[in-house]
Amino acid sequence: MFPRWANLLLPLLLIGFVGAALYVPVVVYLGFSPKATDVGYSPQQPIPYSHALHVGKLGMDCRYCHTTVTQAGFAAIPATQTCMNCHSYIRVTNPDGSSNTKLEPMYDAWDATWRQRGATYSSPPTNEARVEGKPVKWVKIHDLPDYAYFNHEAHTTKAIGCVTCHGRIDRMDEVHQDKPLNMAWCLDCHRQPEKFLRPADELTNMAWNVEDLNDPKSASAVKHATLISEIRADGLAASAPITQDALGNYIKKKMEIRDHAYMTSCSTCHR
Amino acid sequence: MSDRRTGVEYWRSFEQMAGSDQSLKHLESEFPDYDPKEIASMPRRRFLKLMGASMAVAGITATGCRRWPKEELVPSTAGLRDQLPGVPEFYASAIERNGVADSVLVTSYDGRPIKIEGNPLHPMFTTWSRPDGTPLLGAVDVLSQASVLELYDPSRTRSVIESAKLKAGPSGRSTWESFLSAFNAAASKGTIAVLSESSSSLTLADLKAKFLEKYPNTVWAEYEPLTRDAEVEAGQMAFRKNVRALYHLNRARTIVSLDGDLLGVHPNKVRHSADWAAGRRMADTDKAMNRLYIAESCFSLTGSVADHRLPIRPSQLSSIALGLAAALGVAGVTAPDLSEPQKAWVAAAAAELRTSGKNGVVAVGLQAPAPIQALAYAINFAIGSVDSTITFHEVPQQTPHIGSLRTLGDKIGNGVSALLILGGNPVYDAPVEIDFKGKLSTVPFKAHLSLYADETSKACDWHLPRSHSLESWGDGRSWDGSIVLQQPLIQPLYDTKSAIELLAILSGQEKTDGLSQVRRVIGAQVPGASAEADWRKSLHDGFVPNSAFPKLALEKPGSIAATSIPASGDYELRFVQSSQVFDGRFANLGWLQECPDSITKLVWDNAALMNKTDADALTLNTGDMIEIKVASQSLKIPVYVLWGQPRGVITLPLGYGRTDAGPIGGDVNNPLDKTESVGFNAYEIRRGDQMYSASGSIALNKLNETYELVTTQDFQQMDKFGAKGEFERIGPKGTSGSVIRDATLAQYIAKPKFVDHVGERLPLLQLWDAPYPDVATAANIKAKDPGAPTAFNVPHAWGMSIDMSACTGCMACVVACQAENNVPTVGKAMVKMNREMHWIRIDRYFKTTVGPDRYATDYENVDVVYQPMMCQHCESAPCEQVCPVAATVHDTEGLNTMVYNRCIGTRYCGNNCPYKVRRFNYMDWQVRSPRKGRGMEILSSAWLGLPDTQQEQSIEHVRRMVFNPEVTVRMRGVMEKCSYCTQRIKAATIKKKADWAKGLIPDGEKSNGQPAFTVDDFDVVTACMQACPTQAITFGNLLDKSASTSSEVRRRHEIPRSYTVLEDLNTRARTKYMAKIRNPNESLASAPVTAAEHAG
Repeated sequence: MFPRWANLLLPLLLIGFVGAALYVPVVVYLGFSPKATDVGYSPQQPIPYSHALHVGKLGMDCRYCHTTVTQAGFAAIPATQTCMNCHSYIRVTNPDGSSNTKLEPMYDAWDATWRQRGATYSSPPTNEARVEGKPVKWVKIHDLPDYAYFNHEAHTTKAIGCVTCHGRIDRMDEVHQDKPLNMAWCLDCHRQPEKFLRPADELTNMAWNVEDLNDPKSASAVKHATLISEIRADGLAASAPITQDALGNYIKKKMEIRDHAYMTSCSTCHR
Repeated sequence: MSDRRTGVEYWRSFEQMAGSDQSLKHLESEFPDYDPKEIASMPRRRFLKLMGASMAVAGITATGCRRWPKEELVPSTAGLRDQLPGVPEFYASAIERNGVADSVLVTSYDGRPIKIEGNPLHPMFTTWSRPDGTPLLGAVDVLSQASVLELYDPSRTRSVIESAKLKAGPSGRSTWESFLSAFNAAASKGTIAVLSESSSSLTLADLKAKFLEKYPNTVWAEYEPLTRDAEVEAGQMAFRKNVRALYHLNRARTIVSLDGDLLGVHPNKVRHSADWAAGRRMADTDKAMNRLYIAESCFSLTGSVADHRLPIRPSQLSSIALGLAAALGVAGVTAPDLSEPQKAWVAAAAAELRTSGKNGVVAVGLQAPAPIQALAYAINFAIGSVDSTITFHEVPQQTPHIGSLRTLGDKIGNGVSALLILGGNPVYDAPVEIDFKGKLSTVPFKAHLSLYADETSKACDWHLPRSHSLESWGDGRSWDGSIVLQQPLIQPLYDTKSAIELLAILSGQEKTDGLSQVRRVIGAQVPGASAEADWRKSLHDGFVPNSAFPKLALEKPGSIAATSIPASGDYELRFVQSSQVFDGRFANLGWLQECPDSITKLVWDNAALMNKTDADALTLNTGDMIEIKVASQSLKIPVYVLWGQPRGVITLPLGYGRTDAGPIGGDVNNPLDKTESVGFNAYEIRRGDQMYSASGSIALNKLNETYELVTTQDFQQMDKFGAKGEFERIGPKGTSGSVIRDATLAQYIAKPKFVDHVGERLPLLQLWDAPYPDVATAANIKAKDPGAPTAFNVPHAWGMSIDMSACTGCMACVVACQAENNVPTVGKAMVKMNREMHWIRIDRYFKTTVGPDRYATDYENVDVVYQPMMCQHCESAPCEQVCPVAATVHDTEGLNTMVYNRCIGTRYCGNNCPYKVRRFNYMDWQVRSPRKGRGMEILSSAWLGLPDTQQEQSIEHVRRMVFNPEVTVRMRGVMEKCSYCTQRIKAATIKKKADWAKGLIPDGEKSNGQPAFTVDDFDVVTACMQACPTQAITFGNLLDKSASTSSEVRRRHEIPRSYTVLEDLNTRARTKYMAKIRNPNESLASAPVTAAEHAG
């Protein structure tokens, strides 16, 4: 009734089914995993600005450039003026003396005519003399979906550190996305903020470590002596070490951070 | 059952009253044209084919797998001073229309103006103030609010267009330089004529003088289709002065309006509405309220909220005015013959005006003939209300519109070599007998300055693109005469100039930019604005202090030569300003076209409004075409049978039938993109001597055609079980229903809690504790589990109150909501399918006393109840219980939130919502034109013709600029609804808590027992509350209550006449309504019976 080659159909079908059974989860895992698509996202920027140099080596505070993180929902990218505050005075040449072309977009933005002026890299145009150029177009890395409304001010004023969401920016030559920034990840913290809270004045400290509070000689313990005594007065036994939970729960209470029902309401992030 | 046959009934439309099929369809189903059988009847193969094809297409576009479009961050080069990116800023500015400027407060988001509100500091626009007098909020009407959409209208012209070049190429692009050289050449050949729109700008007046110095023989004319020539004449007639009457309705107990739509079309409507509503609210505090009488020849907004409305013909207005004057003893007036109802109305109004004295006022429509306006002034002198409820102010000399346009018409062909038209659209809206278009064609050189290349531009040699008021400097005067400053919010988007800049160039000024001209004139003419500090203060406040028109001390006018005009002919015409598109200039704004008319609820059209008795005589129904003939002109227009329309009067809204408005308003002559006109052009039969009403030889022919009019009045009926439930819902005879409750003032005083004694009352058993605790138990808030899912009170409990007594149905809230929440327009065809997207609607119920045969017979008299309806934020929300994916859920503060990214579009929630407030996105409205086909065509070309699901690329860039970035732009397939402006709530609460965390707010408990970081009253104001001129909408924190103070919304919830709509469903809505209180005069027998009376 069936030709002989039809005998091959059964094993072929079996292989097909097994293959599909394996293939689908793999595709779903790779395709839907935020890790696969977003973490590590590091688009090419017009200027290869190095946070490792400016923050890690030179020790600049995040808020020197991102001035609005504690005042507004949006963490502003600095105006070119902010760059020029220093770069007007910095001679930017490579070690071998050749000029560094990486900064040209910055000069172009600052003064459209700087080349014609005969300005050199060591004497860029001043604020008074310039003709406004086309601004630098940075590519957004930490880009949430448009229906999610993140507010920096709400987080920074309640002592969530920069590093919690952005990772060790001070070690990145070019910034990449360090955390998945998906909803499950947001909810990890919104359900248990005490796991991530830190003293308000450690907001931009990339190397903050709660364990340091237990070493009485450490600079951190000296700085936060009052806080430590407050936590102990709040019920933590004198002998018990200060853990993230102890610190977080104390700050949560002090800052009147709402419980998870409020924190995980849809309207908290979606409008 | 028999008693149900007589009594009071509430109706939405004739169709509903008569139980027509169309209306019943809306009762049975929210979306009557949706047919599930259509899908069920599809053959299986076709279904599979379609499904396979859609999956294949989804695979090709790979919409699920790609990263969303790359976004760029573009910081400024120099640091911004005093500005934080992403934080909105507010600037005072002005929008002028018809010679009166609105003082507005503009929200600017990163340099883009996105929302327009009233300027709270300007006394003509203040609505809410603190008890100490600090102004809080201001309101403006729908037209000013929508002007932000006009700024970003993609069809605005972007360059000078020369018609000679247009023949060579489609763009016709030219430059300002070539225009100026052409103008100078033409000017040297003969006389120049200028036709300007009406403007109150001092700068423009100064530049006009400079222009006349340079070109001394210039013929200068001014014209506005909605002219107030009669007001000017009336001042001359009564006082030999240029006079403006200002009404102070806050001092008035008795308001008598002679065909004056004080709350609807009057330029000072915001102040009038606010003051009138304050007098209505006295019912709660003082057991007294104002009483509004109106005699009117149309059915206006003011008429719809009046206590005693007398429908009359336009010609009868003089008799009514004379009758009133005679009764109040105005010298030299004899009482004319009046009909019985007119006599009774006049007698009651006169008697009450006499006793009210300085607390009475006789207001008159600005369109009324000059002798009647002058007579109204005289009556005010007679009752002693002058300087109390009415004040007279001296206004500058004004050019008469009709007169100067006629003169211009005569001069054309008499040596006029160049005509410059500054704004306006006279080819479209000039009186028909002047034949402006014909005259214009004989002028050798003609140029038109306007936002759009409209009818007039197309008849001219040059079109000059005009700067929008939000992108240019200017000034103007508000109705009280205060000089308001028009401050630009954005650089001109295109190569445009304002009228000030153009005149500055043409008159040879040294500096031609708007700022230096305005600064020069205002600084020189107004002592209070010259110094830098004063100028900056004026700019900040939006107006120059103490610059209002000076008050006049006037002598009582002598005898006024007003005579009673006998009515002639079967019909009279009444031309009215469109409530949506004004005189036609806003025809290209979708927000306004789709905003239902307050009374007819018509969208995307106008119609000849007729009384049912008149219509029956001609066997006309709504939608039948008629031809109206006036002298040699005729107009074909559909009929709309309107309850309450005076008999023998046909009301014609102006401003429709535009032929060259643009792709929204109609672009009939565009060979590339032809768009039909919206509505019918009533200017075609409007004559210069009969600008607002016409009588005499008017012929009416029924045509054997019908036209589809779309009205929203039958949509979204909240009836429980279809037609059967109707009686229980909106009020069967004898009782008020669960939806509408109203009473007279006397009934309210006698029984303050009357709302609890009407309608069905079921014991409302609660599974849980009361939603928010009383003051006595306020301490318990903290004791209770604050996160309990049914508490909905952490740390705020949001609620709203709507006062139906104050609502005038002006639609300001609808447009405000549209601007705030990125609500799309869908087009007439889609509105017909009940797909309009407004988050807030104003239900208009007619209320009549019906006879035994269930039909009302008095089609002239009807009461109206307006009920703004939006999401009620039920604590026990029926929508949430049926959503299969939890896309609509409660938050802890009591908001019924809508999560778009979860919604899969089953529409179960809309089906289960008893208030019918949920709207479904059937299309990607934002990328579609509301005028093309059935609104299905995609505006911009996307890849493979498929709309971009993220809308990032598909929406035109300029159109995107109007979006509020704080609100998601919804895409097709998701439900949406009122969110109580959750973005405004979040902005306020986040700021408050952050300020508290920074130590800017003192710690500890507030006087109401709440934590320090909870918001104060008025920190959160929804867009509708902000826009409401009558304080009818209040929003706030229901927990804000202490022994001494409480939030306004909590206070209102506790006023006895507050009730919950459809309370018997036990939805525990957070929005409460305050029953409408009327104040009829007992002595007038026709005082309507109210439901509360029957309830006993």
